[in-house]
Amino acid sequence: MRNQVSGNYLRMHRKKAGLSQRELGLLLGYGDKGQISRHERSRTAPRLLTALGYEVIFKASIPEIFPELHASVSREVEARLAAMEEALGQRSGRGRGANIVAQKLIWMMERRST
Amino acid sequence: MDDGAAKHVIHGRGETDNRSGPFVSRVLALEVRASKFGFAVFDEPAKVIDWGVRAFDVRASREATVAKRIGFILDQYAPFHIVVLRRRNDPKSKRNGDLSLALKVISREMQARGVKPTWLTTQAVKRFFCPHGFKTKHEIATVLAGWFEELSWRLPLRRKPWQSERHNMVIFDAVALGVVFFATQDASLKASEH
Repeated sequence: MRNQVSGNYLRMHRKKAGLSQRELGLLLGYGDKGQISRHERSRTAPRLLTALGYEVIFKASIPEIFPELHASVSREVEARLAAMEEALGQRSGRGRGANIVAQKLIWMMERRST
Repeated sequence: MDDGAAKHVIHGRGETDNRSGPFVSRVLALEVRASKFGFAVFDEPAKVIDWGVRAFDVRASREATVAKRIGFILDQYAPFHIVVLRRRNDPKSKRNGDLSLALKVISREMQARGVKPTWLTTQAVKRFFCPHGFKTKHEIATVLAGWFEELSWRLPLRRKPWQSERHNMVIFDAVALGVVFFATQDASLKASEH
């Protein structure tokens, strides 16, 4: 049951606007309400163009509408970045490619501090 | 009407606790009637993420309908706390059996999902709102529509004495219950700190 838990505020934004799922679907170019329902229930993740459509309609950023999806992507990417940083740190600081490795490490450090 | 103090109770704790994730304080407030229930889902004291009325006035399969309606909400939102209004049992009421059945089914569905409800009384709701000058249901609903602007368009018109209660009012009853629950939590938190 837990995997169906809604982790987004799409329904809140839609209901606040007084729109039905069908009306929202029409605004996004869908023929029916099925896709909206699946997004609201977190059954499927919206395509990038659809997510941008939600952003335009509700004037709220994608992380604001889909916080859990954003948090999940963020966690995974951060973990991969940490792994990449560790791998780069273990490489020799000499020879060909040392400059680019150094640049990547500097960028990662700067990114962390911002 | 002075709504400052009451508003502070809910808006003072509006920040999300990042250490525990955004949905850890999810609360479902339920106002159960004989043939329908109103619900409000809170992610924070000042953030209502879903609300509505679900009717189950089906004679033939009332138990199954109640279970289906409440089960959908419980599965979709997986609330950490559920707050339900405890109504006084009125033996003279013709709908008493229907209400008892609905509450029984709702309790069973909650138990099946391992969530224990918190029961609040109408007196607790009155105790919270009356000191701030909100005595009638409509006054309470009006102030709630001001606090939660997403609900303002659902605010029912003030009913005439000969009219029955508006369908939407049950949503505001549920929201009021949620607000009182957060205020109670806030008070007990402060008490434990001292």
